[in-house]
Formats: sequence, structure tokens, C-alpha cells
Amino acid sequence: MNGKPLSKAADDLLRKVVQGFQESTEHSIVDPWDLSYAFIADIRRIEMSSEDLKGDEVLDVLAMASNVNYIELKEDWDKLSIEERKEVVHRIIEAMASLGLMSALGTIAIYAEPYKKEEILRIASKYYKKKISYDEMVSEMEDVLWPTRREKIRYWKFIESFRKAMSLARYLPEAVVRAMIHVYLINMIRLQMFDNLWVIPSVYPRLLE
Amino acid sequence: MDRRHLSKAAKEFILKVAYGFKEVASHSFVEPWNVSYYFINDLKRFLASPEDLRGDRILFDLEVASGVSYNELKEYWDKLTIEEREIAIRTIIMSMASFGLISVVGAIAVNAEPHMREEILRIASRYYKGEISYEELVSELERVLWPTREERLKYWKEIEEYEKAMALEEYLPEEVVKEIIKAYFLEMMRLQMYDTYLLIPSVYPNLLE
Repeated sequence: MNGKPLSKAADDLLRKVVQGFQESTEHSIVDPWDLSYAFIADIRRIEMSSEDLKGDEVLDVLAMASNVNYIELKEDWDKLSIEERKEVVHRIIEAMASLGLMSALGTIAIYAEPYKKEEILRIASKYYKKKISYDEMVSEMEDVLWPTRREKIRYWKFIESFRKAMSLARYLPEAVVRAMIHVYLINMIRLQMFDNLWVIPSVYPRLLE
Repeated sequence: MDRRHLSKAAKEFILKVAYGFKEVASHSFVEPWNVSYYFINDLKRFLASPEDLRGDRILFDLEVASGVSYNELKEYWDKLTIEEREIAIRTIIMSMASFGLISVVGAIAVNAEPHMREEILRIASRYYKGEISYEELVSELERVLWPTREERLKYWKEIEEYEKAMALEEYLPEEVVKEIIKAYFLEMMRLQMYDTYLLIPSVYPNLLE
């Protein structure tokens, strides 16, 4: 993240897609981590195909993800070198992954039952102190959230969704993932430890416009 | 008597109303901090004249605030002493205040423009270290969010709303307010410093059920 400065066209394209994607996830009936996962998979497929980023196939995906029309995106896209396209697409993937991952972490910090939060805080602290790996943290958390075999069978769809959401970390620098865990699974849960009545809101409306 | 020594009925009554309020405020068309402010003012009237706690008029207000039926609330209410009723109402006010304050602080952390975030982080750090008071924090933040005279005139309604929302702090212990500021203004803002396009979600759907 924060690589070399982008040209104006690249920056415009990045901003339009990222902001549009954020808006779309706020109003979608699909959960944000699922949207992130699906669009990232689509973008990666094109990136790795023979057509890769020389053409404009990826713009169809970006237009759908951001709700910005194809022609508007194409105007910026055509001004970019292949290297810039790669950089922009890479940063769009990071932005999508960060939104999906943070949504999932936030939802755990908000909705997990109080006794589970305490366990999650303990596990997250172990990861934050580098005593366990990210994958170990995810698997330990899964056992806390769905502890019994019965629950694992009954809630397999949620578990799958949880795993996909948590796997978004692979698109982000480790330092950023650690900072996210610190905010959501350590600080937010600690805040609720003061009192089980300090409820963390699940919606933050705009105050500023 | 403090909250820890309340009867089972009193504790259950508090939880019913507090969690019900969270649901009501989360799905209301009115911003959560305004919902908190409105109901707190309503409940405060009853605390001003403790005689009113002998009757059950307050239950009509709590029914609207929590979405829990009058009859269900009345079953608990009738089991409480006057002293317990007063503590329960004070606790419910604290819970409403925390929800409203966290919502507004979170809304600022999520929606503030990138150039404002650095300033907000700086001001919040000074408050957290005890270098400025809470009132100074609120007024300095206001100047960052609406810096020009023109903006202050144009957005006077948002400013009024912001001031009312931030004033919810008066119902909370200082250490809790500090933790809220730390989680949202320090940690979350720091997280966004990694990259402008690191998107903090404003909506957290429930992954767990």
C-alpha cells in the first residue's frame, strides 16, 4: 500500500471504483465480505487469463462492482499504461479486501455472545503478540463461534462465509491485518468488557453531509 | 445500592430495555444519536421527580424506546423497589448514551474526509493524554469538520446535531468516554493512515445468525 504516486487518470479510476464499491456494499442485500470475495475472484481470474489487463474485460467487473458506468471507466482506463493498470487493479483488490475483512471482524465484535467475545479477545491478543499465526487465529475463532459438532453442521453456510471473509487477509499487508485485528477484535471487544450494556452500533450513518 | 446488587428482575428489566433500544435505534429513520438524545431527555423527567417512579407512566416511554411491550415491562417493574427502579433508569440512560456517542464518533471516523483524519487523530491524542478537556476536544473537532464560516452557516443543523450527540458524554464515566475515543478516533484513524483507500465499513450485517 501507498506505493508510488499514481497519474491523475489512474487516481480518478481508483477513487471512482473504490467509492462506488463502498456505496454498493452499503445498499446490497449480499453481505459485504461475500461481495468482496466474489469481485476479487473475478478480477483475479481476468488478471491471470491470456487477455489479462491489455484489454478491457476487467472493466465489466469493475463497472458492476462500483455501479460506475463502463464508458466513464473506459475513458480513464485507456489513458493508463499496463503497469499503471496493474497497480490500480492491485489497489482496488486491496480496498475491496479491506472492506470485506473489516466488515466481518466488525460483525464478530458486535454480535458474538458476551462469553465468546472474551475468548475471541484472548485469541486475537495471541495473534497480535505473534504467538500464533493468522490461520491458527481463524481456526481457533471458528471453534469459539461454532463450538459443537452439531453447530458446525447446522451453521456450515455461516462457517463457509466466515472462512471466505477471513481469507481476504491474503490480499493485504500483514501490518494492516494486524492493525485491523487490534481495532476490531481487541479494542472494540475491550470497550464492551467495561459493561455488557455498552453496545457497539452496527450502522454508522453520515453526519457530515 | 449499586447495579451489581440489583435483583434478578431489575437486571433482566435493564437488559430487555437496553437491547430493545439498540434494535429500535438501529432500524430507525432518525439518526441513532438523536434517538438516544430524545429518549434520555424523556427519561430524565422521571428522575427529576422520583415520585413518578412509584407509578408506571414511565413504562409507556420505555415501550416506545425498546419495542418491548408494556405488559412484559410491567411484570418486571412491579417486582422492583423504588430505589431499584431509579438505578435501572439511570443504567438505561447510560446504555442509551453510550450507543448514541459511539454512533456519532464512529460516523466521524468512518466518514471524515482523508485530510481531516490526521487533524482528528492529533486532537484526540491530546484529549486521551489529558492535555485538553472533553469540551475542548469537541470544539476543536467541530472546527476541523466545519472549518469555514461559510460551512458553519450552511451546515448549522449538522453542527447542532453534532453538539447534541457529543454531549451524551455527560451520562458516562470518564474512563469509558476515553476508551470510546481511543477505539474510534485513535485506533481507527491510525488504521486509515495506512492508505486512503482502506475502506472502513459503515454497515455491519450479522454474520453469526
